Amino acid sequence: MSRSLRKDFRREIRKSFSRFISIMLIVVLGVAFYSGIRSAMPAMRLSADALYDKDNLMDIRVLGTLGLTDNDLRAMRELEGVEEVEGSYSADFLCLSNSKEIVIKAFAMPKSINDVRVTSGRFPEKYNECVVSRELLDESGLSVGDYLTLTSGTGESVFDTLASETYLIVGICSSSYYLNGDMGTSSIGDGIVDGYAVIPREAFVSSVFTAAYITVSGAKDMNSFDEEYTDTVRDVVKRIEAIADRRCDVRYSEVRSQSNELFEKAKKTYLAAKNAADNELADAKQELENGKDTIAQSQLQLQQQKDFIEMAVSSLPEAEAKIEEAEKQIAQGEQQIEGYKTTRDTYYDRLKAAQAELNELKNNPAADANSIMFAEVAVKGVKSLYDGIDAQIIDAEKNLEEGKNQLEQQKATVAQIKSAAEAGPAAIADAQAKIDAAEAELRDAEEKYNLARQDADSELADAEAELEKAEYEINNMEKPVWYVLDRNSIESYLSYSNDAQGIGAIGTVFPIIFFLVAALVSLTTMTRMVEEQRTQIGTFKAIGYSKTSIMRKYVLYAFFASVIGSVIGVFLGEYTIPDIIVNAYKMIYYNLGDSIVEFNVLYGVSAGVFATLCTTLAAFAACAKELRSVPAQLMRPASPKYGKRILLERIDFIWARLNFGQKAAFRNLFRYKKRFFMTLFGVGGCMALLLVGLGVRDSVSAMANIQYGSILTYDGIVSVENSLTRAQRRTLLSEVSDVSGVTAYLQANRTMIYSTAGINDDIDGAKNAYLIIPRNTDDFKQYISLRESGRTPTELNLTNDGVIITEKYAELLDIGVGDSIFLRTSQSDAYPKEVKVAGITENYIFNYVYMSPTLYQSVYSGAPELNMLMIKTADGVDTSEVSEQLLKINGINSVTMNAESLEALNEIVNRLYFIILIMIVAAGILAFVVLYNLNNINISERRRELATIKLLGFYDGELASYVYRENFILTLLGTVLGIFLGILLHRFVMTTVETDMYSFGRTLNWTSIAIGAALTLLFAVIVNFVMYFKLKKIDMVESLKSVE
Amino acid sequence: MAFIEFQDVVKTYKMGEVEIKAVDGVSFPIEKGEFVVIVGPSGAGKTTVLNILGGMDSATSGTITVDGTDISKLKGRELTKYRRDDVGFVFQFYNLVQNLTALENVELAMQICKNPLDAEKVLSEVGLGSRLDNFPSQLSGGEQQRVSIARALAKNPKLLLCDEPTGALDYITGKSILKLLQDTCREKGMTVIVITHNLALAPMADKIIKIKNGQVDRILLNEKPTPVELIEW
Repeated sequence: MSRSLRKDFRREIRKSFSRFISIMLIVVLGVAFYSGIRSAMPAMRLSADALYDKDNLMDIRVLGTLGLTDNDLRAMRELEGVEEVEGSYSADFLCLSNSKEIVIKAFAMPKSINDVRVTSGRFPEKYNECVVSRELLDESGLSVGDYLTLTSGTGESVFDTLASETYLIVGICSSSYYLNGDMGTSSIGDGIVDGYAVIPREAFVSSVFTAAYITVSGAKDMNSFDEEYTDTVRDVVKRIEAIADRRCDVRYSEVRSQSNELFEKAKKTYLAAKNAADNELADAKQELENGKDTIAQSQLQLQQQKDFIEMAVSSLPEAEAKIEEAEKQIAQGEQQIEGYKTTRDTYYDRLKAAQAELNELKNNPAADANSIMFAEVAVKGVKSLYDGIDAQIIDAEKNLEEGKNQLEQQKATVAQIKSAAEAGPAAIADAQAKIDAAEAELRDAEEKYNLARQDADSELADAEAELEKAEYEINNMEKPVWYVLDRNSIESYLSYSNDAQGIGAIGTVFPIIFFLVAALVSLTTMTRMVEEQRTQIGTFKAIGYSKTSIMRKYVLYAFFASVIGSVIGVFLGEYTIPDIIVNAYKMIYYNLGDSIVEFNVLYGVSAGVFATLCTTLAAFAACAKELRSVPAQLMRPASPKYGKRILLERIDFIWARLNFGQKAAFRNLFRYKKRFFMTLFGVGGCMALLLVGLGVRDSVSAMANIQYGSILTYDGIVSVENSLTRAQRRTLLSEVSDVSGVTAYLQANRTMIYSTAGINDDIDGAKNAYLIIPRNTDDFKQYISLRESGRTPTELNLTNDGVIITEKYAELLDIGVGDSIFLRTSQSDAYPKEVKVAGITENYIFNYVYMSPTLYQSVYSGAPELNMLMIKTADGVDTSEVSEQLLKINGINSVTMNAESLEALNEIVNRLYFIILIMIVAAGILAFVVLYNLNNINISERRRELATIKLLGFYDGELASYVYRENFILTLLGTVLGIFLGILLHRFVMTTVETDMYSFGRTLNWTSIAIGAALTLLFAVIVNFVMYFKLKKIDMVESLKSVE
Repeated sequence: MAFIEFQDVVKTYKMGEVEIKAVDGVSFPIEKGEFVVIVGPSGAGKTTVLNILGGMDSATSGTITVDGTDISKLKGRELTKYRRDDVGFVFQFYNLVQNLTALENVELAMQICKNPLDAEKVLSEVGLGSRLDNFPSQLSGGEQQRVSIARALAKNPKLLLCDEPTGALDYITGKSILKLLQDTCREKGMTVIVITHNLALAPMADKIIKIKNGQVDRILLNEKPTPVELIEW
């Protein structure tokens, strides 16, 4: 570049600095928006991921229906890819506060996985202290320092799970596990978790863990939202799932034997208790019998006594007579004895005489022997007489003594009888009283005994029933199942991930519009610049400068402007826009940490290069066109663009009615084609952006309203325990229909199935859906409306020819009506069942396969387990009340009311205001940039014409309307174009953000189109209003100047 | 009082610190129906006079009376109204709206004034009766200037203000345009003021006002104006 050209270049920039700046700014805008919005998704993901890493958030969570043991944890720890395993406890409780019942999830203080941060207060130090989430405080009205009292909500004791019912709140905590207030559902209370409390591990009394948290090695180095991460974690999930069956078997037998042992023990205890009770009662009965005997005996004795007294009294006279007799006899005996004694005395004298005779004889030696002998015989004879009488006396005396004794006795007896007869009546009365008392006592004892018997009987019967139930339960105990869940099971992770994806989708589409507009604007600006300088270009050419060196000025001009603009734009965009977006999302995900914005070189460089290329090429093209002309031509003023007749003029009756301004406007539209298309595109783009923004809302709310309004016409789903006896089920059903507000229900089966389109298809590609089998296909129509979507939906009937599947499912499996699908009950199901697709039904949320019970019977050769109830409720009933009532019924696992789902979705819809705001701001900027630039060019290009018109005496308003008429028509056309563009773009965006589980409504509401159009027009009006001042400033004298 | 009266008109422009007097006490009268040529070298101040007379600019001091109205007192909208109702402009470069046909360009001016003439008739009078529906780009320079004159005349103004009307035209065409202007003045009694640097045009005027250094150098009255055909330059 020669010196003078360089000088010219420098001066050119200085002179037309506003133009330089305007190109630069438009590049800044385009590049900033492109790189900024594209970087927003990575920034959102990065920000959350950093927080997750900081808190060591689990990658996988394993839940066991019978809990997890240390051995289970050990088995998981040994698996490849598992870094750390931590067992944990959690349980849901209710807390009554402010007369409101809130549902609280309590979990054990983590050791290292799923760290919680205490934002105020301190960590719990004692077993009865806790830290809680802010939501809990908000919901309950409690604050730090208050006591939190838990109830189980199931009728069981809190002490079954926890060591304490009451916990002192010592701090507020936050966890990246819950980025927002969405903490999932619960089977107690109204079914929605309102807050959580973290309590020390030792407060849990359970012997097994309720969950195991697992981190995957190497996962922390990856971004949790990347495919790489998903794949890595999925591998480990599969490995865990592979050991699940075995571990579950172990656990099953363990629990069974444990329960059996417990059962046996309980049975023994029961039997012992029964025996003891029986024995005790038998003893009591014996005693009772004894008492009865004693009383009988006493009565008998009493009778005897009475008899005896009677008898004695009657024998008394006889006895007295006998006494008299005896006394007489005694007196006779005494006389007799006196007689005997006199005789004996006589004999004694005679004996003595005899003896003395004898002695004389003997002493008389002369006594003859005969005499002696005779003497001796005489002595002997007298002696025997004496002795005889003496013996008679002794006898008589003895008899007398006897008689005296008897008399005495007799007398005593009589005395006794007399006294007895005297005392008798009193004693008898006494004895009778005693007997009566004993009888009363006995009656009491008997009553007591009977009561005790009854009590014991009923208690024993209860115990027996319980034992029976326990036995039944043990025998029918279901095999435990492990649920191996990744982070997608965390509500806030999932919704955050979806939001990031949504921003990502926006990032792929919208910046391109900006980019195109930026390119177009710089193209027109550069063309205008070159056109303005054609005389100068001609002069340089005439002087002999080469085309290249002349061109260089303009190309470099554009180059510098766009390079500077790109650099500013990239930095501005990549550092501010993602930050703004992440921070805006922090309003929703308030637990999210600081936003982390990473510079994306790829987006920056590609945007910069592309923007620079666009402007530079535009300059190049404009120069090349001018340089084709010869210098002489260039140095003359550019021949003004020719006026041309347009098609409209042929239609006389319209054209004739137009005034000159309208005519000029119409001709101008077609005269300046570049401007025409740019305005169309800019305004159309603006309109399209607005429509997408507003349409996102439409789609999501349409999805929600159609799904829960006209497709799923039931009001709630009740999931029922699998192993219910007939009687239990009957009770459950009657209890369900007794719940006030429930008007009808239909039993059905709901099972997760995995299907493929071909029998040999890889199971990894299988898509899951709920298999729904209603008990009755006729009633079914009132619960779920099956219909082919379209302008006029055709009703579909559930027949025995095949299944009806949902739209998205058909799309995922790439099949149509008449094709077959292969159903698997699990991913490892080796025997897939083939069924024909008989219809495809409209549906937006989740995937379903509907099957008639008869078809099920023939496919699975068995009746389906009716594990679900679809219920209908009365209009205007409080659904949370209904769900609370239902959850209290035994055998009901969970209740999901459509109203709740709808409410949740509507909350998402309300959250979308932010995306809409981005869209409106973006669209506004776009409209301003485009319209302002175009108007500017329009005015500067037509400055002379406008000055003339002004000079001719047009008022400012008339002049403005002369110019605006064109703008207005263009804006209108652009808006119309934008509607079509917007509809297409909206459809594209909604299709992009769809997941396997959700599809969105694809139609825009009229109100959205109206709002979009109104906003677009408003933007146009504002720009034109700004331009009005520019128009006013046009100097009429310009019209007198020569054309440059 | 004359039909148009300039009285001690001064116009000062501020260029930064410096004040430049473009017009420094200009006074002249113009009678109704006169054909006046204001002549002077570049930078003499004739354009300023034109601007002030045409209601495009206002004087710093002095009075300008047109048909009894003091236009130096007019502001904004009134000034526009003055331009729209009382003045017909003829420009050096015709200043036609490229996107409108000859007829439409005339109508453009007519639409904004109170009692316009018939556009087609006026165009026939300027000799373009057969080119009504042609766009400016389809017309020669002279024809375009005729359209421009027709546009000015159709408004039925009080005066016709012509800024170098022949500046962009060749000799013969220029002459025919001047003839048209002179005829218009004579036949319709229109006050025509032509501003030019070309002294050769002076003899055709009734009154010649020579401007030099922002002041009126001389005012010449021409008893017998030369017909345009006889003027050579």
